[in-house]
Amino acid sequence: MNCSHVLGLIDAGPFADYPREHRDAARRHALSCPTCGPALLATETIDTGLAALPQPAAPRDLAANVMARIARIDELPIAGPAPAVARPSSLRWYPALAAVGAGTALAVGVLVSGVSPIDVQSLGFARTSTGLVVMPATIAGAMGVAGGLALYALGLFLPVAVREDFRPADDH
Amino acid sequence: MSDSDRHVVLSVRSGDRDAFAELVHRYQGRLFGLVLMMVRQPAGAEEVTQDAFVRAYTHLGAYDDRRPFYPWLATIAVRLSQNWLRQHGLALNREGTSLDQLHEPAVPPAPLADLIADERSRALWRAVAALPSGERTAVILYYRDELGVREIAGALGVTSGTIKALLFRARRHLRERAVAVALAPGETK
Repeated sequence: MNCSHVLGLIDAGPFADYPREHRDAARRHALSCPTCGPALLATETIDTGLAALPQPAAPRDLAANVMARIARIDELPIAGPAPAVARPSSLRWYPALAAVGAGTALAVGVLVSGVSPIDVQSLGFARTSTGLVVMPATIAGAMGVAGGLALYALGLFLPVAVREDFRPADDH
Repeated sequence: MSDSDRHVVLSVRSGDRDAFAELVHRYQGRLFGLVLMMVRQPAGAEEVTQDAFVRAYTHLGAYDDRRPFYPWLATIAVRLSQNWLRQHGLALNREGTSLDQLHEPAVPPAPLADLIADERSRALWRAVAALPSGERTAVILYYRDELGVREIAGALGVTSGTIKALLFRARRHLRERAVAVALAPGETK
């Protein structure tokens, strides 16, 4: 174990991934070495000093300023429209409208063509597919599924649009 | 999280806004010191510290009260400090250990140390303030704020290995700069 190695271990301290015996051997070396000994002492002194490092005094008005800003935030109307959040209102409804449109088109397509993208004849209510979903056995059932998908999509996107309407102004 | 912190957080969540002042008073010095070490300008540090408390208040619903409060608050402050540095053209490079490659302003560390009353502590504070950015942030978070390596890594957006490397280098730099001599009994700077 040479001095270079021991100095590395001293600097690494608790962050060195070495076995305890290895570190103990390094410490024994340092205690009897004129080069590593002062380094070990210095590092231990630094560690102690860092753990006790005081904090500078915070600005006198800091707490008052923080609480004043918080008070201003709380005074904002919760349900009011955000003044500067800027998506055009018409755009907020596009995802929901697109979902409803897609669901309706699917249902109408099934009705008109009589062909379902879902093979309803081979699947029945009483039969569970190899997947986990029980599929409807009729065209009406397929339409119900399509409508459900549209409502599901609506549920996904509508809260986003509503939340943007009620988002409070950013503090910054 | 201490019971006291939890009690205050629950009070704020139930609508007692003024209870938050207790958290501000409790942590303002510690947080200001951390931010000051990162941005190195008292005015900027005050701005970022205020922002961190306000952000913590407005996002208190997202805080997991089973965990300690201060590390969560410190993480917010670290992120805001990084944003502040970026906005002032002092962005940190977060790749690998190049976290230290910060193009810092030519602000001497001495004014920061002047905010410390005790002379020996001031010498150490000066030495820490003179470290490269990543090293000094890691040192403050690890030694003074008692965050774990993983918590610091999460706050700075780097790996635990990077934090260990930063702390290793910081210890070596401090030793090489003979801070210990200045701190030795009977010595004054």
